[in-house]
Amino acid sequence: MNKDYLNLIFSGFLFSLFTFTLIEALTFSKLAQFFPLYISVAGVILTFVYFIAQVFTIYKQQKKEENQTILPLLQPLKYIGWVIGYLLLIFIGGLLLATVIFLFTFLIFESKMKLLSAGISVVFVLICVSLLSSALDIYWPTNLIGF
Amino acid sequence: MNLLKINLFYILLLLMSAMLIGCNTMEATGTENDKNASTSYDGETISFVVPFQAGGGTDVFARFMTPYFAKHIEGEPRVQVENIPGGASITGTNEYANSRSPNGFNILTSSASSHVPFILEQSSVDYDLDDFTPLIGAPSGGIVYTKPELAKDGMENLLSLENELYYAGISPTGLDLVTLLSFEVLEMDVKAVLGYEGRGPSRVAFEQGESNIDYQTTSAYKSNVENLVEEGNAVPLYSLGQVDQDGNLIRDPQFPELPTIEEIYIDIYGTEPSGEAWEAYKQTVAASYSLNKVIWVHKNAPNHSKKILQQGMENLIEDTSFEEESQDILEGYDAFVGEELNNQIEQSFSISPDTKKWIIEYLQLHYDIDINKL
Amino acid sequence: MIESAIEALMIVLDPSRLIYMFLGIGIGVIVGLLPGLSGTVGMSLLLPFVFGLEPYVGMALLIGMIAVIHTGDTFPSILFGIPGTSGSQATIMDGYPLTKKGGASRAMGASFFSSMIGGVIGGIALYLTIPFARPLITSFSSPELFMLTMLGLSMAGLLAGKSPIKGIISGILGLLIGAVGSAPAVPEYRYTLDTLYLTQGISLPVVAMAIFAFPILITMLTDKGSVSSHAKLQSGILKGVMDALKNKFLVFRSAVIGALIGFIPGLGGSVVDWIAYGAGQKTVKNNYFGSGDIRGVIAPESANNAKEGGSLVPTLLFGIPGSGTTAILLGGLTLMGLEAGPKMLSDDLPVTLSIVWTLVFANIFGALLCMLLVRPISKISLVPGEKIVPFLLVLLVVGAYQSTMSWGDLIVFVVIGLLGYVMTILDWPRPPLLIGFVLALPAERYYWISIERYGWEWLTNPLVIALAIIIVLLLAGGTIMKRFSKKFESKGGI
Repeated sequence: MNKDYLNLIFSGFLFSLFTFTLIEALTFSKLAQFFPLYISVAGVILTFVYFIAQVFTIYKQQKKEENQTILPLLQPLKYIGWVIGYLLLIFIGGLLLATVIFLFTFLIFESKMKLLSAGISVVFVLICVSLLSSALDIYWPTNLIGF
Repeated sequence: MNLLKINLFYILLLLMSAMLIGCNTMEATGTENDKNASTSYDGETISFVVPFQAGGGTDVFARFMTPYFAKHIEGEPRVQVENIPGGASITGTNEYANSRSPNGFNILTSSASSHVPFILEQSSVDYDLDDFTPLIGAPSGGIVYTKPELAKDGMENLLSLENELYYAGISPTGLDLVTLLSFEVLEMDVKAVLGYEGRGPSRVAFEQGESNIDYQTTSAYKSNVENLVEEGNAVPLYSLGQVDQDGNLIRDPQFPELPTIEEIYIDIYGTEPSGEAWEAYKQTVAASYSLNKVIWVHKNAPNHSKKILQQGMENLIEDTSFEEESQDILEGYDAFVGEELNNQIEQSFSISPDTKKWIIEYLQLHYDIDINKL
Repeated sequence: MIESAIEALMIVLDPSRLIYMFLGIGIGVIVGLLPGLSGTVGMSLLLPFVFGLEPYVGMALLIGMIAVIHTGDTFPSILFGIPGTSGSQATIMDGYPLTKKGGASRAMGASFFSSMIGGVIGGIALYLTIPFARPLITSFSSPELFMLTMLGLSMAGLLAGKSPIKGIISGILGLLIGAVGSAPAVPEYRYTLDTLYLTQGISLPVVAMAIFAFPILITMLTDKGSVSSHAKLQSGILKGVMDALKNKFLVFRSAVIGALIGFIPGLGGSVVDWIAYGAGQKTVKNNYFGSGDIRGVIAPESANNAKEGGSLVPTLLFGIPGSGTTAILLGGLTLMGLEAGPKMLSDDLPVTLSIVWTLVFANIFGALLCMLLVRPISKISLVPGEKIVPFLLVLLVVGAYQSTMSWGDLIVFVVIGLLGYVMTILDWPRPPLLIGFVLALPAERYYWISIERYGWEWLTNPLVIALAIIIVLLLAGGTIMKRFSKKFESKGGI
């Protein structure tokens, strides 16, 4: 997708975000209000200025028919999907199970690893995670049942 | 081949971790002890919920207690501290009340910052201290001090000052509330600047003149303010005191030479203090200082387990090595157990509706705080 | 004091205590090099063990660990562009581009050597400031602290890259994220979306990882290929050390900045690497910071190790912790029967001095240990992205979860990570966001206290005016500077 259009959408998003925080800030009590109010107002104004400037840039570019930077979108979305899928798996199955499933499928489908090497890697990671957890006193997310 | 390289990295980690395991004594997977209520603590693990980040005052208190628990509770169970920080102790206490199994293998420590929101019934509080059985409680104390030039003409002069006294505090709903109420009772005109990061920064504010009346809790006072007093840069005014089992305000046993605000009030105004501000003051002293920290178990835990735990606490305070070692952690105060503890709890946490209403209105009026939003 | 210093040296060098220091160093390096695990995790790991230990032994363990965390955290910053802890974010700016050019070993050599020198300078700073600590610390009142946070925020302007307006918006966004949670002036929660998780605010390690690590993971996958585009790793540790030696004044300057900022209570020192980086960018001639300049690695690495020495001053002498790590250190002191306060300079002076020595030794040994690890670890940068990313993701998820052990950590990680990714592909600078985030709370707090305590009178405070002039000069200088060197603009920040 065209980078300038994306920039426009992003600044539009930021504009609405700052508008939301501005409206929300109005409900706070006086002492909690001033800081978020100041920065929201500054944010609203600046993003609005940027938004207008961006519209102009696009308008000018269309006239000149310059080369526009095109950003690929599908590929990153796929990988973001993997990350979110992994987190969902953790939510359902707890970290250990989710890691096994995620690592195994990712290594085979995305990294094109052989079954055996993927299997070995997964086992290694499992050992490391459990060792680390007992040695470094770290915790990991459990699923709803507490597995 | 690449796989090998990845693995090399992990093998390395593995070796390093293996080095550490030697010194590891804690089970860290955070799983709960969901066994059926067994009647003995023999070889079992007690999970000790601390609703604060590791390293804070309450956490240090809890960690100090664990080896003594292990030693004195029949069956010598292992006691494992679990920190659940957040929401100024409310998150962890809620979690203990609602998600931990009442099987006698889960205990909790609370502190003033869980007690005051409870008696004021803040909306985020999802626990009821009446649903817990207390095991052991520990007091703390606080000392109010000021600059020598302000104190030299006596308390009476201090009370007559207008727009000259500045107090640096953290938040009007925390321990500061007690100090602020003491100003209210004495009718002292103090401008409270709240929003400091902690008692340390507020003490620095005092030292450099940003504030000129301040308080510190007992141990911080001894380690950081007593030298200021010796150098002639600070003068103690009064201790916040303790509330005894009959509900009277008494002098702090750690500072027997310092008066309470009741004595000062009588001295200056000629009558005993009365009214809602005074009741509120005594109530908050009881809930914040006289019972600064309490360790609890679920009330509906098996009776047998509760008995063993309570017996363990009574053995614990008889232990002479505990008495010696606990000087720093308990700030030299005596811990409460058994009947004494129950009376103290009764005294501290049952607030009259009028007093509660008054405190809530006081916070709303002076500090613009809506208790329902907290 | 020199006599007692020598006495303390003998105490520290006792073999039974040295072992604990080395144990501390080992743990510190591991905790540092695993993204998401920071000093707080290391401290809470060690805390149960210090109970009842002799203070010298316990301090050897704890300080040994604290000292080297910012040495070990350089590995992921340089190799993957993922901050090992929040203290080594600025290292990414030039360290990661260097790795892409195949210069990982050189960057690490320079960074470890600077860390070592910086850390030692931090230890010396701790020793030298001991006699003046009290008057120095009590000389900062709230208005001055507020102006110092403003100074830090204006650094964000320096790091904005080619589009100032994008940089400022990014900084404001950071301030807004920092405003989530409890307000300092009044106990009221803001922007919590009715969740209990957000009442405590969003934690720094999660934001730092999300904003830097998440985008890197995705771009490593979409770009394919390994991090280092060169097939062969140049062996360059020595070259890196020479680089650091050549820039000895930069190392020294940055270390002094680090120690000073660590020393000022209330600022927390989380932005010290950015400030040293920004200052380096201003003062180094002919630089190409942002596109793989070795000096862009040296400055923050020297500063972040030096910071620890400085930040121990308010912690030990006033009981004011400047960070999560030192907050737990205070708890550790109590468990060993010590109390932070003036007594650390009289009765407990030997302990304080042993801390200075431990800081010095641990920095030296920690850096040497890391240099030994460079060879095996830097090979990872040759592994293709799609083979290393899944493992990194598991590591990051477990790391992010350590902040508060709640699901909120992971959700925030993804949400802010996505924001960071969009900012990356659209060339919005991310460092200003982080600086804004870190300084949001102090800025609001000290502004409020200044107004509440002094009215508008505080604006006439001479130190406040002096700081305001410095800020204006810095910002004006930034624009002039940019006109002269168009070079680093071409990269638009990372």
